[in-house]
Amino acid sequence: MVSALSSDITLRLALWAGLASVATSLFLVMLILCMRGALLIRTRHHARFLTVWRPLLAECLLALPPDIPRVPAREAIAFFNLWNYVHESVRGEARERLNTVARQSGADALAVTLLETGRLDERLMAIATLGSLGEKSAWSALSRIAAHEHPILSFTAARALMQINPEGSIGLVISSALVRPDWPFSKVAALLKETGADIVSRPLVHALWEADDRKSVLLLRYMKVAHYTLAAPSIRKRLHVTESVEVLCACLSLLEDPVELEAVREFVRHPVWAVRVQAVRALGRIGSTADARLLLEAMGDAEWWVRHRAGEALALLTGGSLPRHLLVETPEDYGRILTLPLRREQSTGSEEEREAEWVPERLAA
Amino acid sequence: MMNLENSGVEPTVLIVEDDEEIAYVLRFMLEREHFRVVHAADGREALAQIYRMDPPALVLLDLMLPYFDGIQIVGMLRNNPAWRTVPVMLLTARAQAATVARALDAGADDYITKPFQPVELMARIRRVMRPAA
Repeated sequence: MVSALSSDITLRLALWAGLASVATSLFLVMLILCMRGALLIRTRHHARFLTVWRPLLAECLLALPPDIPRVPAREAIAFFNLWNYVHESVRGEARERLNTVARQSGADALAVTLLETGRLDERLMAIATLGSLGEKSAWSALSRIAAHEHPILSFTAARALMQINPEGSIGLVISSALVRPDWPFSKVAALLKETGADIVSRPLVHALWEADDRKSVLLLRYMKVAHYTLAAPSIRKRLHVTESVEVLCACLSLLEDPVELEAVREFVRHPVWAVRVQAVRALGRIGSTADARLLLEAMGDAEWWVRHRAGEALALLTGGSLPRHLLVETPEDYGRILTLPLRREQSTGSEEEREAEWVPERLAA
Repeated sequence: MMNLENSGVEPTVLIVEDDEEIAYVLRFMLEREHFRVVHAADGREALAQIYRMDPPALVLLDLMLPYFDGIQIVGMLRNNPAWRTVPVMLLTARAQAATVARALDAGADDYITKPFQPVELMARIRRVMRPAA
């Protein structure tokens, strides 16, 4: 009796388990079919969208089309994607015509709506579109988003502001970049570069005059995109007043004229090797052939990077005309290897004689 | 080089461009100007077209391509006797100046940087395809 009951329960369990797995399988099949159906519908919609908008946008690169349809709200993101892509690919009058198409199709209004209500990806596309359009009416909304805690959202808004009004937004972008470690340096530098030295130089210099050492390091790294003539006075001042190794290195890496040559020569013997590296590099750019001996001395430095950069600087400085009496003073084998091309160029005699002269030295090194 | 005004048939342009949208825009503009367009989406397809099709009136060539880059393709074109005189115009990003110089050395005739001005592109295409006076 007990055995029969037990068997009955086992059978019931097996039956229910079987039914559950069949139901699950059917549910999964239905789900997959629904997803496939939805994908198919989306693909068809997108294909239909492309057949309308691709030729229209391509046509407007050469002339404004006479009839421009409205963009339905459900196609806004697809439109922004395509429109921004084409917008980034062309320049000049074609961009102006693309802006006209976006406005006449109502895409600008859709972008403003999505700016506040959309998902993250929709908001990003809307911000990019408004920036490319140069939509001044979105200025205050974009300014608010530029202060958002999300790094991509805030940076994209800052870029849009720069596209709309670079002179009006450069101050905001620089001050934000100084307090936003989550904004990638390379992205900010690229944004400043694309905005242009004419616009970014003075605000960067102004910020540098007022910055402490921590902010100065970042500003000096951005200063590479600025006009050197405008930046030079503030760089020189920092070079003399700072006690920060990072600031010193950044200043030395920017020097392009020989006004500070004496100071740079002194920095070649600085106790911190990172400063010596930047000093020998600066010497290669702004020094004279009279600095060749100092660079040769640096090629005997205890730090590999200083020796390496000194070799490069020497090659740059002498342009292959290192005086022969200095060649024999090359302080170590590594230096000999670095200056080998220079020495080969200076060597006289036939090709065979030159090989005979230098190959044993190279092997010995 | 093909004389466009006297030939009476639609001249063919081979576009070698891996970016679908750019390729579409180029095709649209060229077809509007009554060119027949053949598109290769990467270096391998371009190579196949070089051996398959008759020499076109122009090759519009992107520099950065999968499998073979633009410079390699220019070299292949210039080593092929039938394609040796076909004008080649490069499409390149602004940052690729050194690469452009190498491609011009390899035998390309002209280049245009992206982002490009459509009107300028068409004018340059007409210029490189114009028969020598």
